[in-house]
Amino acid sequence: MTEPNENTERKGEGCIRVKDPLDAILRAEPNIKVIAPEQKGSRITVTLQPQDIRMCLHRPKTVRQLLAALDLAEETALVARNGELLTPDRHIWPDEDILVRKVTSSG
Amino acid sequence: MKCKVCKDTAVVALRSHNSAFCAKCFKTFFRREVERGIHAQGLLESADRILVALSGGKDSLALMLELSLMGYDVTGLHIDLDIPRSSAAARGHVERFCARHGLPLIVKELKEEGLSIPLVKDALTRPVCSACGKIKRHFFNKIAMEGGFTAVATGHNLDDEAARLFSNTLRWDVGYLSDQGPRLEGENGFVRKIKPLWRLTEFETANYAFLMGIENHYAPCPYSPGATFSTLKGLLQKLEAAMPGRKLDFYQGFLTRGRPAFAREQAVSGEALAPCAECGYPTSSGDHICGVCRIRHAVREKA
Ligand code: SF4
Ligand SMILES: [Zn+2]
Ligand SMILES: [Zn+2]
Repeated sequence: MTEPNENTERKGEGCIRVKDPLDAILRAEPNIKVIAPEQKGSRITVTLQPQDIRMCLHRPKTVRQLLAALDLAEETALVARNGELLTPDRHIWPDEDILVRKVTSSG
Repeated sequence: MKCKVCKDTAVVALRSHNSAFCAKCFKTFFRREVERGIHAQGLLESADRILVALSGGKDSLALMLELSLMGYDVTGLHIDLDIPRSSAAARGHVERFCARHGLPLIVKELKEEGLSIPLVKDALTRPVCSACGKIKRHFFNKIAMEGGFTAVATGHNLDDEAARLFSNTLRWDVGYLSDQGPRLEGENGFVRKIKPLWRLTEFETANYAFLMGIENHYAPCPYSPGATFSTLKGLLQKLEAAMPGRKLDFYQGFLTRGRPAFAREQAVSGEALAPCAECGYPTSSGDHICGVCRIRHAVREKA
């Protein structure tokens, strides 16, 4: 994507910024579950396992904040990005796609 | 966070151990904990032939993989419960896992025994889970005895064991408290039963499964009650978050100081075992036939 379209704007030399991150996500995945759609600003997408639910939420800055946003205690879920596990202190950046896998087995 | 051992970027942080590990060092940590669990409770000898009960959950698959990598002689046993959708999915998952790692697998179909779980459910008035558990344990033991296996291993982790102990304690169930633990002796028609992952939490096992490429699998049993056990696990999880390390202390303290007292009590008041008049496998001597044979009768009468 080198030229701006109706959903992006030029931001300095050679740099394109998405105007509405939620709109861009919904174009790619119309059925994704949107958490707090009224919140503006950068977003991330999440796959919540084991059920494989796709959702999209306002960007938490760290893994710790992501777990809190999903109401999960530490050490009750794995968090990974591109196949790499992340400890709670790791940063999360706009537009990232994150895997959250709850660990509790039914016993 | 940095790996406590090699200072590389950490991928797993463990508060109860006040540590963080990179992928490679976490696998070493996991191996050490399994070894410690095995040695501390005398679970296995190198000559043992181990039958590993594989439900399809991450814990049993992680156990099977790690024991095989440690050089133990392991064979998987999957019991196909014949429950619509969930059983076929679980079985497929176990079969692919064993094929991928070149591990031997035995599949026992309850259908061929006339004990499909949906039929059992229809024939009983009480909840099906206790019958289902009884049937599974019966076949773990029977297949192990017939196949010359010296131990049956299950994937129960520290969270399962601590929640079970909590539940037994809330009821002060002396019978269960007298022999709950990672090792149940083999005698009188029973093969030794072991739980080598007893020192590892659900979180640690899940991290191991992820790092070893064990796939996510989700096809829950439609009959699962879940609630009680999840509540107990949730309470212990909160306790652990407030006081890291408490869960392991609770369980280990029970093994060394609690269980012996209950075992003495049970030796005085407990019932002895005798062979079932129909299948020959052990049951409480007060009963003429065992629980599984009684379930068979109930299913036949209903049909
Ligand atoms: S939830 Fe109950 S019926 Fe279903 S597999 Fe587990 S024990 Fe059996
Ligand atoms: Zn390391
Ligand atoms: Zn019997």
